[in-house]
Amino acid sequence: MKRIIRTELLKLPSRGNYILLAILLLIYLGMSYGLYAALSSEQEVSFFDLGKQLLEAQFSLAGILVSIFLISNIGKEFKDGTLRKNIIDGYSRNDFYVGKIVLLLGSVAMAYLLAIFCLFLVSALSGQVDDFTTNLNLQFVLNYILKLSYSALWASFLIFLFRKLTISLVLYFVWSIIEAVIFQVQQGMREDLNLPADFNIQDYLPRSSLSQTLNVGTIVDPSHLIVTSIYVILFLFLPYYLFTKADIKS
Amino acid sequence: MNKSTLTFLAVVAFSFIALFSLSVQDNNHKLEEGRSERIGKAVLEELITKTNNEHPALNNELKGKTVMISVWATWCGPCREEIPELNQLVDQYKHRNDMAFIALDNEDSTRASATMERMNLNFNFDLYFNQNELINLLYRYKLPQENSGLPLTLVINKEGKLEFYYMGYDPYQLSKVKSYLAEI
Repeated sequence: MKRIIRTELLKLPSRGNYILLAILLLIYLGMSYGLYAALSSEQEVSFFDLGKQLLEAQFSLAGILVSIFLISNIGKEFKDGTLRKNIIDGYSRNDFYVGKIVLLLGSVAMAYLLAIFCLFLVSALSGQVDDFTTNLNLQFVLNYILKLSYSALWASFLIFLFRKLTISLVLYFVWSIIEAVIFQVQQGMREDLNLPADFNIQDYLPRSSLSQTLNVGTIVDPSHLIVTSIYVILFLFLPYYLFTKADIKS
Repeated sequence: MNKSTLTFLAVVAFSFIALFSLSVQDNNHKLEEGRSERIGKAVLEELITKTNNEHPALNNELKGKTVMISVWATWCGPCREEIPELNQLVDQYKHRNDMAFIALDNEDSTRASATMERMNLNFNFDLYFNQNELINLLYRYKLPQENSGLPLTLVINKEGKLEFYYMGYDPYQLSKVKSYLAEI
């Protein structure tokens, strides 16, 4: 495992990755400053509500950046043929895939911990550390890391599926629109298909199913959890089997 | 796939699923707890006090009655979708003096009436427009994690306590309301 991590770390320094990291830090710092300014103003604002909004915004953008990072990292391996070189150097298909999953987990953890640290910093600077510790409850912590991880998993799934950086990136960005269109079609055909009132196709689509599972405003049906779990397993295991000898030869 | 890779991926997948389950369980528990605390609250008295018993719809005259309140708007699709079913309830119980059906809308009455006419909307609840203040009071019973939504439906029992409070057009909840009204 050490060798895998070391190899992945060696591949990290690149101009593109530095730019992504700089954007991530700028977003985090900019938003944190915004929160600090709002908390320091004389208006009565709640640390919990604003902190939640800050984390939501930070994680939506971090999710996109982490996904771009993963898509470009894995995409480059296919494009530059470094995947083949790795194999020649004694790196197995298993090592390569585990390395990418480790990279995924590592980038998610970094983006997540940085965001929480920024929130902590703002709470400390504005003298509201107590609010930070009180409000950072289980759900507050869990939901954000799950959203971020799921987004990264989806991105890695796309790049392993299509192997092409551009296609994966475009699909990553337009997929939500595709799901929205599918939902609209379902709504339009609801009566023709005689669908039950509580049937919602979004519950079964890869991106939207997550929103249903982590919907804090409603009692979540276990079926949502099952669907999302199936997608997690699919996103993790299917790419491994999508590796073929042709990929190594390319 | 070799054994160590399989184990690694299985551990990652299991961790994800465990975290999802934990999140869902925590969410459901908190919501159920919050909702069960909300049901049974003496909201009628609270609302009458807050509006100084001056509101044309929510006043002392409602005491001892079962009150169904629908917060809606003419522009809200799910609200319009629900109206035929709500009208059925009014038709079914219009002879009962111990029941009241009230619809609150924060739109301007002239504009809302014009829209209703244009859309051929017939809503048989007692309609009240420009109800921003009262609607805000009703949304105060929303739990912090619940998203504000339209329509908002409340059913207050004869003791003035909350029996139902839900947002959105929810056929399942509406069927429960129907059964409740049929039983009293």
